[in-house]
Amino acid sequence: MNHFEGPRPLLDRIQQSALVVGGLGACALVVGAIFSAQQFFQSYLFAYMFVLSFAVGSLGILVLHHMVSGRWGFAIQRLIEAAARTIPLMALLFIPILAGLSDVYPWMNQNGMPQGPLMGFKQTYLSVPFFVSRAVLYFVIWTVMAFTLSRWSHMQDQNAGAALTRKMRLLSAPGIIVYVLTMTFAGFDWVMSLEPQWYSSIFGALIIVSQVLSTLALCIIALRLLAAYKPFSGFLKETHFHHLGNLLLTFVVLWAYMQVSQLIIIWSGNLPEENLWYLHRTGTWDYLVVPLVIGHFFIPFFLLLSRRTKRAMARLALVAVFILAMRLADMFWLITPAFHPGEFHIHWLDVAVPISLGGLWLAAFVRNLKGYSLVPLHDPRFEPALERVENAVGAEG
Amino acid sequence: METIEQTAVYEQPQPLIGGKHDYGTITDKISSDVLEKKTPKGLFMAFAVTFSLVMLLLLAVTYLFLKGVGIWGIRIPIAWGFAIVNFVWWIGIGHAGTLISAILLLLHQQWRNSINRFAEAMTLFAVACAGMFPILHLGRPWVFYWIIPMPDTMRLWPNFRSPLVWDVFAVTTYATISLVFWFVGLIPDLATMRDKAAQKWKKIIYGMLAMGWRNSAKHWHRYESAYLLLAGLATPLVVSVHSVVSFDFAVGIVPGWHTTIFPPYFVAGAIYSGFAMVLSLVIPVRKLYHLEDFVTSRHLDYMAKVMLATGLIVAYGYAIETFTAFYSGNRFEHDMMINRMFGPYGPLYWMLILFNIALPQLLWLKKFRQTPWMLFVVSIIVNIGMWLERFVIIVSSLARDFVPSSWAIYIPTKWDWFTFFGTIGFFLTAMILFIRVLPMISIFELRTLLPTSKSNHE
Repeated sequence: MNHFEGPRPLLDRIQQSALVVGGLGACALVVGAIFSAQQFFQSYLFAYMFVLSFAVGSLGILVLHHMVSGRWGFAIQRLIEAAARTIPLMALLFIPILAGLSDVYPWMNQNGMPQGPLMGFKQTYLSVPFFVSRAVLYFVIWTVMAFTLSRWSHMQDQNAGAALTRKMRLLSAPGIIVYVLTMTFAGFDWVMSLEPQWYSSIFGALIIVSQVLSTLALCIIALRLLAAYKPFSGFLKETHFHHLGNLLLTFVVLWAYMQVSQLIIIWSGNLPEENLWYLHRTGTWDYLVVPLVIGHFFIPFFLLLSRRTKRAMARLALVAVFILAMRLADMFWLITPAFHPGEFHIHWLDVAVPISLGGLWLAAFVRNLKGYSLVPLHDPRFEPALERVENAVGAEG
Repeated sequence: METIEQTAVYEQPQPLIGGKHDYGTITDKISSDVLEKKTPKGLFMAFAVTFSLVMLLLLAVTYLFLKGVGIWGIRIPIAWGFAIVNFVWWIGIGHAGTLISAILLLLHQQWRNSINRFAEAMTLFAVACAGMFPILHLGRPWVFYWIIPMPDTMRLWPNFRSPLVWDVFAVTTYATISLVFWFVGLIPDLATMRDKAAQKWKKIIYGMLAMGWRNSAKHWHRYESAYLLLAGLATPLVVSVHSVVSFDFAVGIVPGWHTTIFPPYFVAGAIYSGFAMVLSLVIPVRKLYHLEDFVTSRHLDYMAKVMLATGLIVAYGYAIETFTAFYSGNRFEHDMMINRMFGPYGPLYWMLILFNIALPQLLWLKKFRQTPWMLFVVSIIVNIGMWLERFVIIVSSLARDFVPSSWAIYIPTKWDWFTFFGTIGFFLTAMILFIRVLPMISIFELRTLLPTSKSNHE
């Protein structure tokens, strides 16, 4: 164990391999896009929404962290700041979605848009100019929030004063509201509108909970990799993993709670405009539904109930990897049946695009991690804890 | 060092116990309020009022048993009037107690120690009030037990697909766990009361209730594990009970009820109204019993923040519900929303927005969170707002049925009001009796908040 070395070589290695995978994948995607454009765009949307979770979910956790200031938050603050700063990259990667709008969204075509006397609102809401300007607005807001919070946090590293903590909190309080509202409508726009006749008011909340869950899992995996290196080796303790594990458990439960609530309400109402969504996602899609129920809820739920799992970082990281796999499957189930209602369908691009996008994103994320301290310095909410650890380490050594 | 100066710039929170206190003074202050000091005059006056309301409740219920539910304003299609409005309102209020006692315990939020006993008692009495309404609404309340699934000679089973049956399970579980949790938490303090009491009969009563607590290490060990387990059991109840209540509405297809955001938004609303009620009670009692050292302005600040946060979730619920109604393009959803805003109950809707969403935004200002009387006013506003929310949801949706020929207007009768105010009287009477005979703040848990106590383990 390299207790006294920084994680730089490890980060370099991850960044390089991620970039190679992402780059090679991108070449494969070009081939795929040429031969089956429609399939490419459909797979792309699914992969994009999965990767976006980490960027925007990090922003959500960041504003929450500045409000509640828990110890777990300081352990991952620099990770989520780095991830949130990938939002401009995600904005760039949104361009292919705009290019493929008509291959993906049925409301782009005359006969895909629901017609009727009261559909005027929906027809305006789901019109290209409005759709695009909303997307621009979301990305501008997210970018400004992510970069402002990151900048203040880095300024504080230069010992620029505790007043910055106050500023970060002042921005984060309305920031939570803005994040929740923008992500809700982004979820409506980009995922819910895949089936334009369908609507579910919990859908935005479900997307947000899923995002936060994905991000927490990623942070746990990253911390596990970095734990042996400075500065984490100095202060990371079982309690940090315990708290993060509890959060992971909470969001696993919240995800199940929202899914089940939506299902119970739509199932008992049994209205044709609502239950179609479930009919599209069952049939041979049951091959995915059953593993999701077991793997996305029951397995992690029971594993994470145990204190031992949460306090052992290697074991917790394994659970997190498993949850990420389930998140990918859940996103696939949420999106792909819109194109293949009731019949299970998977294409090689559904595997290639997530790998490629994930590689590119990971490279950008790791690049953002480098260059700054991996824990925030001089934050009065965190500093006492850090100093105590340093003293203790000094006394030992 | 520069750092130290800068740390000072950032406001450090005040201690959770004000004044100069040690283990002894805390015990003396809380136990003597019950055992030795004279009951404050204000408490007697309040009791006179609330007990009269209990008599009013008895009158209303007796007349109801004689005449039937026809004395209320309910009429088809508005079969769910005040009874269900008040049921949901009361059950929501109870949620703050469970959140404070269970979830905040698991989250290591030490400040809860000053208010958990009080809030748990409030939960119990609120659930008792809530439980009355569906039973009174049954028409034949004396056979209410038919809804409990048990083998009988008539082979009658309740319909398990109905959330009204889930409600029975949810609420009875909730009442049981809350009672046990509250009582287990009381045991060490009951032993303190037994030891402090001067008169023999008091010693006997408190002694019996203390169940032989001798303060031994073994007792404490068992107590701690039991309490933690109960907290774990109570935690899902914070979410499940009001989710089931929301299913009472959402699983049907009545426009305005049938929307998927209902479960989380009902839960947030429950906690919102619960904290409002805790504040509405704690602020006057704190003043009456001079408890400012134990329930500090920092406590008020935290509770106000929880209220603000949950209030914003409720606002999110309203916003998304409205958006979905228009986005859906569904005739019934669309017309329901227009009717809710501009129909016969429109003014109540806008009052609800004012009380539940607009005015509570004052809590963004520290002044409103920490000045007791201002916070008290806001908490009363939220209590009214949350009651209006239930009224608007239930009545305005039912009054405009699918078939225009059956539309009607619901106007509560005096018996509706008598029953409602009667339960408020019952609730407050029970609270007054509670603070008169039991330690209203957990003595031993409060002691752990002292700086000298190092129980703040990680």
